[in-house]
Amino acid sequence: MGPVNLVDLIRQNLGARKARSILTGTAVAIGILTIVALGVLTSSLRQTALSVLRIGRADFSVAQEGVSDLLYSAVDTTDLDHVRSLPEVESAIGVLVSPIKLDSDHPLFLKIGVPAESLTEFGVNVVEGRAYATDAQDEIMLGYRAASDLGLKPGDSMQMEDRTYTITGLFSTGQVFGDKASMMPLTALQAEERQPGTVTLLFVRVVPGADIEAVRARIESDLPQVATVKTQTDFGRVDRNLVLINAANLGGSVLALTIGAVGVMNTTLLSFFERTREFGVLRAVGWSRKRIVALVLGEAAMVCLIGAVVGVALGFIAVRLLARLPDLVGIFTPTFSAGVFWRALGFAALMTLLGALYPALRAARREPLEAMRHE
Amino acid sequence: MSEHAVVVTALVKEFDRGRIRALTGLDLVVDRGEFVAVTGPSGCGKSTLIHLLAALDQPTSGSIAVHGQPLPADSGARDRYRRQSVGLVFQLHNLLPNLTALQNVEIAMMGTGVKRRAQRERAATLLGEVGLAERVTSRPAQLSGGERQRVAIARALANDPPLLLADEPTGSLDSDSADGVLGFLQTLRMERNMTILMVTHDTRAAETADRTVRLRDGRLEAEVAEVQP
Repeated sequence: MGPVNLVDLIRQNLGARKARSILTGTAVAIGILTIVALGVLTSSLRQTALSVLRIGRADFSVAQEGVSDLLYSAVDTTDLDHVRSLPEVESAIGVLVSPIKLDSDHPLFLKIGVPAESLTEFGVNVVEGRAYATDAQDEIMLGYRAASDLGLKPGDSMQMEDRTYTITGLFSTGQVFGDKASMMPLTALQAEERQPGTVTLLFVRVVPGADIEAVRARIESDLPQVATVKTQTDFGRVDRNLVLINAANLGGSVLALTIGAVGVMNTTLLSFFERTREFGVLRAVGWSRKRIVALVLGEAAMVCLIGAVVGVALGFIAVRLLARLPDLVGIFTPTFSAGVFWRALGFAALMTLLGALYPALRAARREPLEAMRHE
Repeated sequence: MSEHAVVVTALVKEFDRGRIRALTGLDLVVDRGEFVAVTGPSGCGKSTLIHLLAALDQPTSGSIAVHGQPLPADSGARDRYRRQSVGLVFQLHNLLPNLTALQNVEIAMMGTGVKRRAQRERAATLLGEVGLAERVTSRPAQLSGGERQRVAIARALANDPPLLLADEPTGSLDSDSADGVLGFLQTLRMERNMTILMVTHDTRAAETADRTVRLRDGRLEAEVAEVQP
C-alpha cells in the first residue's frame, strides 16, 4: 500500500460504494455504446453512399437536387449536353445507376450504365476479358471483387432479376465499392429501366487550371434543378436520407448523453448528500475548494472513463452484430476510426462535466462548519 | 516575534441576524507554549471561540491574531491557515471511514508540497507517538473511541502546527481513554512547547491544563487557575 494521493482516494471512495459505482458505470457504458454504434453506423452508411460518387474519376458530380436518395436522382441528358458545352469542362460522363437485390447475401448490388467509349475516361480498367460492346443489350462486366465473391469469370452467364447476361470481362476502378458492382452499356440499362434520356449522375472533369468552384456555381446557376457534389458536406443536398440519418445520429447521441449525465448526476448528488460531513472535515483540515472539486469530479471521471471503455468495446460488438443483419449486408460495412474513440471519450468527458460539476461545486462551496454539522 | 500565541480582542459573534449572541466582546490572550482550558456552561460560546480561532467561521466584530498575524479573510488564505498554522481536534473524531488510520493522517498533508513518501513516514511516526504503531492499517470502524481520537490528534499534528485547538476532545470517551488523550496533550505541551487551547466541560480534563478560563454569556468570567510552572 503506497502513500495516499488523490487518485487513491478516488479509487477507494468508488470501491467503498461498489454497487452504485458499477450501476453508474453501466449507465455510462450504455450511453457510450449507443453513441459508438450510432456513430459507426452513420459514418459507414455515409461512406457507402459516398462510394457511389467515388467510382467515377471526376472533379465533382452532378445529381438531381433534393431527392430522398442519391440513387433516385434523375438528370436529363439535355443537362448533360449543357454541362459538356461549357468551355471549362473537359469531360462529363452520364451514368445510370440501378440498385438491385441479387440474393440474400447481396441485398444491394449495383448495375451501372456507362457508355463503352467512356469507360477509360470514367476510370475503369479492364483487368480480364474485354469491355462490353457499345450497343450490346445482354453484355456486362463485373468488378473483380464481385466476380470473386460470386465465383464468376469472363464468358460465364449471370442471372440478374429476369434477365441473363454474358460476362465479357472484369474491371477495376481502384475503389472497393465500384469493384463490387457491375457495368453495362448506358443505353441498354436505360432501356431496361425504361428511363431513356435519363441518367442518375454526371461525373465532371474540368480543364486543367480551371476554377472548379466557379464551374460548379455556373452549372447550378444554369441548371437550378441539379446540385453539384464534391465533399461529404455537399452530399446532403442530393440525398435527404443521409441528412435524416445524421439527424437521427445527433438526436440519439444527445439522448444517450443526457441519460448518461443524469445517471452520473444522480449518483454524484446522492454521494454529495451522504458525504457532506466528510467534505466539511476535509475543508477543516485545510483542503482547498479546488481540491474538493477535483475529488468529486475525479470520482465521476473515473466512473465515466471505465464506462466509456466498456461502452466502446460493447459498441464494437454491437456494430459487428448489426453488420450481420440481412438487410444491412453489403450496405453497411463497419468502418472504425480513431474518431470513434475520441468521440466516445469526448462524450464521457461531457457526461462527467454535465453530471458532476454541479454537485462538485456545491460540495466545494459549502462552509466547512455547516458541512460538518450535516447529519 | 510576538510572545503571545493568541490575542483575542473584543470578539463578538452573532447568529441569526443578531438574535443570538454567542460571543459578546471576549478578550483573551494565550502565550506561546501555554495549555489553556476553556470551560463554561453550554451555550456560553466555547465552541464558537474554537471555530473562530480555526478560521472555520468569521467574527461579527473584534479581532483575532495568531502569532502576531490577524486571521486571513480570503478563503484560500484561510485554507492555508488551517492547513499550516492550526491543528484541530473535535469531540467526534471526524475520521474518513473508508481510509486507514495512516491514510486519515496523510490526507491532512495532501497539497502541502510534502513528498508522498515523507508524508507516509511522518504519518507513521505520529501514529507511533500516539501509541497506534500497530494499528496503522486499521480503519476507524476497527478502532476504539480512544484510538480514533488519538488518530484525530495525529492528523491534527500532521503539518506540525504551532497551535492545537481541541473542542471537547474527551467528551465522547471513557475515563481511561480520556486520560490517555489528556496525557498526550500534556506531552505535546511539555516536549514540543505547543500552544494548546482546549474547550471542555470536564473539570478533571481542565485540571490538566496550565490555566483554565471560564466563559459566561459570551465573555470571560474569570481565570480559575493560575499558570503552573
